[in-house]
Amino acid sequence: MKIAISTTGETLASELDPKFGRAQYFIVYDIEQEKISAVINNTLNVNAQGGAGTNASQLIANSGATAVISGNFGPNAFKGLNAFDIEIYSSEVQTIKEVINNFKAGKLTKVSSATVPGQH
Amino acid sequence: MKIAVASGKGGTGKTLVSTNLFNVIENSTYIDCDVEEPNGHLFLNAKPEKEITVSTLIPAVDTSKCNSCGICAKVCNFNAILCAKNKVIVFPELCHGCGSCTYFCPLNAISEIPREIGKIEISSFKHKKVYTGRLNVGEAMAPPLIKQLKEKNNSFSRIIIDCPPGTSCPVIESIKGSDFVILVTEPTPFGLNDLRLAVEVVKKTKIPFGIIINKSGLGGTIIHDYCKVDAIPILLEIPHDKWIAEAYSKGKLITEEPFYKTMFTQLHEKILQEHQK
Repeated sequence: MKIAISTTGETLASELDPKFGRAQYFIVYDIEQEKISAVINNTLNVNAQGGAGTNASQLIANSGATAVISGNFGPNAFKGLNAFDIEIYSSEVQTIKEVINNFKAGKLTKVSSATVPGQH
Repeated sequence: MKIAVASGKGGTGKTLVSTNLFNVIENSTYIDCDVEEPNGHLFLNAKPEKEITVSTLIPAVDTSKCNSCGICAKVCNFNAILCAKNKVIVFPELCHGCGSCTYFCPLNAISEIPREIGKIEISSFKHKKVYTGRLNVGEAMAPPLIKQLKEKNNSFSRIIIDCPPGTSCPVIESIKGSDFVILVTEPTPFGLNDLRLAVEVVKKTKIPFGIIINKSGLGGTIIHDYCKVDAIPILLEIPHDKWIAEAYSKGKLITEEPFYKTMFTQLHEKILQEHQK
């Protein structure tokens, strides 16, 4: 399976970006092959007037990821990711490598509703 | 003549100026375009006599016709529609009602349905009409409501438009089509900063404009200096007068007093002169 993680950089040493819709990048990681399969540049959504969460959901769905990890998810992001049947996990800010290890160990919390109100 | 009263910075006195200008101009109509927090009616004691519901159009997808091609999501500039494998999700509160998704859908699977965003209240003040736009709480789509509010008044000749603060879409929608724009400011660094932004916006619209300094005498000559450099006419200076604040806090119109009535009548004459230039 592939998982997408919001991040401030483009490598496994980068840190998780706690903002989902307005994160700088998404690293798409292939669990079976144990490597980064894609880096999604989310710059367009960082300063989007609105709908950052919905558009980021679409980008992640397009990448083939079936789970996503970030800090916080707004209501539109939550609704969008659900529409794509993408599993949603919340993590503290740490390196992407640590996040992946925690995900594999089943240590991350599954998110069942929006964690923050909508942001403009 | 349509006069729009805008400001940039909030709380400089748009409603003070527009309600009092409305009070001194015969056969005029007052439109409160500050639809997120309309308050002009408080000073005009205007009780709604009629209410009109305002809607914007959002897409409705006929799933039996849709093949999830994703064109609707691609053409949406506002990320208001998502296309998943077997379903299309609409985010009504993000939709600007532009109709692109409906237009571009190759299978005609999208139709448009109304979504209520607010109300227009019609009331009277001294036999003159007062129109108030009121956006539903939590709603972000002010421009469509402002547009419909102004369309209701197209036939009237003397109109005062009380604009929202700021320099974004709702303000531009409010001043669009006006014959003259008044920018109300105050002599503070914040007032000047936001005035500069508002001037940039109004210049783009090519509508003639002038400035009113409210609370004049409060903070030196920074507004005068700025207006001098840019050759912007100062239409009026409203003194920093405690009596005005007291009257305003009680919901009174200052032009009920002869001194201010004369001041605002002269303001109207000055606007007409500036407009002729």
